[in-house]
Amino acid sequence: MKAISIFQKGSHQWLCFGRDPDKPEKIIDTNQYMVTNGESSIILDPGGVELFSQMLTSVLRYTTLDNIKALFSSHQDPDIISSLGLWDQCLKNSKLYSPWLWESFIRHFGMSNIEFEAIPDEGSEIQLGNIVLQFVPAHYLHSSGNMHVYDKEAKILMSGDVGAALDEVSAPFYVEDFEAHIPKMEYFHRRWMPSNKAKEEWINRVRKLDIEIIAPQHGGIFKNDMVGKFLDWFERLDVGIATNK
Amino acid sequence: MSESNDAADTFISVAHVASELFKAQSIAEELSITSKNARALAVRAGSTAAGFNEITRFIEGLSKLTIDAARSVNTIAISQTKIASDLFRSQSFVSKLDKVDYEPVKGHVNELAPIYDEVNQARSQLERKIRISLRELVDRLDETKMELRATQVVSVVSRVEASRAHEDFQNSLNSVADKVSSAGQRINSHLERARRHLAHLRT
Repeated sequence: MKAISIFQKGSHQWLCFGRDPDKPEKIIDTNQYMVTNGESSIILDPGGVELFSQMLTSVLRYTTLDNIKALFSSHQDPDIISSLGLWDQCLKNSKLYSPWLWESFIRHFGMSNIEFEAIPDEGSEIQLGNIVLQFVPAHYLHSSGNMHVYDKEAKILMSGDVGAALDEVSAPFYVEDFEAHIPKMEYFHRRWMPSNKAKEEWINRVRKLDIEIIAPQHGGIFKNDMVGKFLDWFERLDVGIATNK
Repeated sequence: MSESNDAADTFISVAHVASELFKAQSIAEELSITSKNARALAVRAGSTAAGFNEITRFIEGLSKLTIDAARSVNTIAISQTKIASDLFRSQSFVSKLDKVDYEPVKGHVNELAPIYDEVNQARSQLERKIRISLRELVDRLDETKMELRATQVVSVVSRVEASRAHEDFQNSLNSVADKVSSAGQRINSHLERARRHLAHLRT
C-alpha cells in the first residue's frame, strides 16, 4: 500500500494510504486517511477487512498504536469499516466516531474495546491534539447517515464517497486532468447518490468552507482549482438515476 | 490430530449437532403426543390395559428426557458457537497480524508483541473453553443415547401389555408400541449423527 502526505505543518499531518498493488483483484481500491497532530492520530475510513494487514503495516510506519486515539467511519459500508473487529484488538483506548444511525449495524463488525462515539445528525467536533476537526453532515451522499471531516487548519475536506472515482490502482493520487477524470466518477455519482436535494444542501454547506483539498474515499484527490471544478460539476449533475421499471 | 480445533470447523460441527438435536426434539414431541393418546386409550380399555397406563408415564418420561437433552445441547451449542466464532475471529486476526510487515526501530518498543501476547492468551482460553464445552456436549449426547435404549424395552413391554388388553384395543395399543419403537430409533439415529459430527474434534 502506498502512502503520501497531503498536508504537513509542524506536527500536523494528513496522510493518504491507498493504491494498494497487492489488494485482491475484485475489491474496490480505497483511500484511507490518517490525521495526526502531536501525539494524537485519527484514522478516517480505515477500510475493509481485506486491507487490514497492509493498513496496519502502513500506519505503524508513521505512528504508534497508543497514539491512535480515534477512528472515524463516514458511514457503514464494508469498504469503510469492516476492519473494525481487527482494529478493535489492536487499540485499547480508542474511540470510533460515526453517525449515530449506524451504531447497532457497525457493531456487527465486532467492537468490544473501542468505544462508540455517536455523531449527531447536525454534526459535531473532535479535538485532536491542538486542532479541531469538524464532522460535517453529508446525509444521503450516499448513505442515509453520512458524515465528512473538515480540517479548518489544513483546509482539507475528507468527503467520503463524494468525489469518488473508480480508477486504476496505478492512477496518480491527485486529479490532474478534470475532463479526463469525469468518466471515472460520473456513473458512480449518478447511481450511488440518491438525492439532488441532499446534493444541493451539501454543496451550499461546503461552499461556505475554506477548502484547498477535497479528499474522497476512492480515486483521485482534488486540489486547488480542481476543488471548484468538482463542486461546479457535481452541482450540475443529475443524481439518483436508477428506476424500478 | 492438531493441537487445537479449527474454529470455523468447530462451529459448523456444533451447528450440525444442534440441528440434529432439533430434529430429535421434534420426534420427542411427537412421542409425547403418542404417550398422551396412549394414556387416553388405556383409560378406555379399562382394567385389562392397566399396565399400559404405567408404560405411558414411562414414555412421557423418555420424551421429556429427549426434549430436555435437546434443550440443554442447544444451550451448549449456542455458547459453543459463540466461543468458536470468537476463536475464529482471533485466528483470523492473528493471520492478518502475521502479514504485517513491521520491524521495530532499534531501541523502540515492539508494538505488536503485546498484541500477540494478548491474543494468544485469549486464544488459549477460548480453546480450553471449547474443549470443556465439547466434552460436556459429547457426555450429554452419550448420556441421552444410553437412556434412550429403554425405548426398545418399553416397546416390547407395550406389546406384552397390548396382548393382555381387550381385543378391541389391541391394534391401537400395538400401534403405540410401534410408534415408541420407531421414535426411539429415529431419535437414536439423530443422536448418532450428532455424535459423528463431533468425532473429529479434539475434546
